[in-house]
Amino acid sequence: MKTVLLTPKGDQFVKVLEDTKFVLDLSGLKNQTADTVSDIVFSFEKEGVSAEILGLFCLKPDSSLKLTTTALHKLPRTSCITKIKGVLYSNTEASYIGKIIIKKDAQNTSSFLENSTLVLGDNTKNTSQPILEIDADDVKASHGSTTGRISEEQIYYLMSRGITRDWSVKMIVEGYFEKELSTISDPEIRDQIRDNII
Amino acid sequence: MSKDKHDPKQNIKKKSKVLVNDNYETKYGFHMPENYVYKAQKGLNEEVVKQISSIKEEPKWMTEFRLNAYKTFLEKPLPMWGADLTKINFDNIYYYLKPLQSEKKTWSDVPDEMKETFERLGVPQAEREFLSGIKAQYDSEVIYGSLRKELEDDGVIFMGTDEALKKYPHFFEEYFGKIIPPNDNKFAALNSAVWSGGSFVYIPKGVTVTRPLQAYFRINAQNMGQFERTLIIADEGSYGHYVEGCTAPVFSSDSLHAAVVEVIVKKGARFRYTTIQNWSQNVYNLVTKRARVESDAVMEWIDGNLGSTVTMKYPSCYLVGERAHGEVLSIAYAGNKNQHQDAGAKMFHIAPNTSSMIVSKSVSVHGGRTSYRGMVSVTPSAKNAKSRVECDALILDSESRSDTYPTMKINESSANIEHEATVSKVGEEKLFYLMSRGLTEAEAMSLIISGFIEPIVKELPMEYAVELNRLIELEMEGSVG
Repeated sequence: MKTVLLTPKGDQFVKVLEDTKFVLDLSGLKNQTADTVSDIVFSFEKEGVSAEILGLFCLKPDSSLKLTTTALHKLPRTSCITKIKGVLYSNTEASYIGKIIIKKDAQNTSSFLENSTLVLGDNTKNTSQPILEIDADDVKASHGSTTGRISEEQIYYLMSRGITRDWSVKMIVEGYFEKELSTISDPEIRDQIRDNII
Repeated sequence: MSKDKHDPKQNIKKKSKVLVNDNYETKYGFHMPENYVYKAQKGLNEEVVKQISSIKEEPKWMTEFRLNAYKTFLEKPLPMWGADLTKINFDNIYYYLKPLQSEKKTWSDVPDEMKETFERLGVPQAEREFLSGIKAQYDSEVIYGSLRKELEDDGVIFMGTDEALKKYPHFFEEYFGKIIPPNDNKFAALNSAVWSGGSFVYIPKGVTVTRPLQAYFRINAQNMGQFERTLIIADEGSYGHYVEGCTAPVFSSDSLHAAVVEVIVKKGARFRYTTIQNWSQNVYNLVTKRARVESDAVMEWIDGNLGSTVTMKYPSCYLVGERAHGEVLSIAYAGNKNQHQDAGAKMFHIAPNTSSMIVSKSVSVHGGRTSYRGMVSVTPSAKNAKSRVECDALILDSESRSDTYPTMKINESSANIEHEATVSKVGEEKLFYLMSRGLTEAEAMSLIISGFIEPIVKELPMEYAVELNRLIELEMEGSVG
């Protein structure tokens, strides 16, 4: 599967014609105004293709992010896994809409969406809207969304090994992202994203 | 959660003797004002609103409430974000039909499919006549009379909303229209202007009502009205369960059903509201249901949507007290291309340490469309909120459609929110496994669907669960092959 780096600035329409892993560099989307939303549509235009869409972000204090992704399945036997994971520090606002649209002719499609947000600071706002519009019956589509803080037990475990609280949180966040980062086969892209978020 | 130990056979017998709401004074004894118009008229204007209020002999504040709500109804636009409501003709509806004027239908007017469903579900004759609108009421003092006595001894109030407004005005002054104000949405405004019928329930502090209060017990044509208004108050530490509707199809010539249900669950109380809706195929079912849940209280909405051409219904809980808990268990079934069930739930976490759970199961077949529309909102003051939403949908053929539109607005950093949804068809392997044990494809399908909706059906009172399972079997028979 080839890896493609996308740096969205505003709306974008991406045609998926071969098996691709799309890695989104979301650092450019911070501090948008309330009116700017980036709507990225991934349109599956060839039968049998599969794609992965990975977006990782880290909102440092006083920043915001607004993102919409759409997996648009119009042809049979396509598959997609979308993962959007982020971390929110204090005074941040994130808004994500993840659409999976499966049209009538797109039988045997499978499409999954995962959106998870780890909240580290205070005074945060997170809006998550995973949407499914399914017109074909022989498909598998699902989504999941979670928002929460790091469990105090995990932090306590690390602190009891002599690590400060700040370092513990840092390590947990690194671990949170590393799982997805390790799936990026292109080292340059991987390092670029890692620098953005950690 | 309490389970009823009714014997289904006994209950069917009981139901055929179920009694009518004893509104004899309204039906036979009231005074006609000079300018009274008996003939029901179509369409809506200020005059109609004033007439409704004067026929009911309501206090002045209620008449003004209705008139203001009517103005709001005119101002608000039709919502375009949900199902298609553009075919509703507001001028072609009777907004108030005096019971004496209800048109008599005959058994021959009842559609054949409905007659057959009654037969298969084992619905007794008296019930069939009622549900088809042929008979305006049930006759039975016995059951209702004894229930009423039991409740009265505990101080429980259970009567029609019209009657309760006259007898217990202080409840209405305090709570009516406060949970769902008329300007909430266009159809709440409409209901607030022309409401008639519905139930009023008050459970005093610390009282547990073990037997479910069934709207069934006090029905007559009036209560089946299109614009029912229900107000339920469960006082501190009480417990109650209200059940409305039935799995058998309800034949209605009314094309619009816009009800409003307001529930207040006070500190430490627990209330469950179960609805099974199976309106006939011409009905637009647009309902606003909301509960205010105070500290340490629990509210459960059990919602079954089987009929109507369009349903838009999102039972919600405002968790305003610490440690309040709200739940919605919802089933939607869309069985033909003219059906769109747009249902869901809303949870608002306003106080600290609140929790909520939403489980939604939907099935669409033969071109039907089901949509889950939900909201989980955590406001900045709601520390440590926990919420879990699970919505699963089965699409059984290629003409049908399923959507989910959940929104999570989390404006508090200590919240723990989870949501998951799946849409799929019934796996071939599952069908094959069951068929290899000797079941036909239809039997296998209906078994799998029953299993799919089981988590919700097991929360229904026994006779509903039995009927619902039978109904699904019936529906499945026609849908496979």
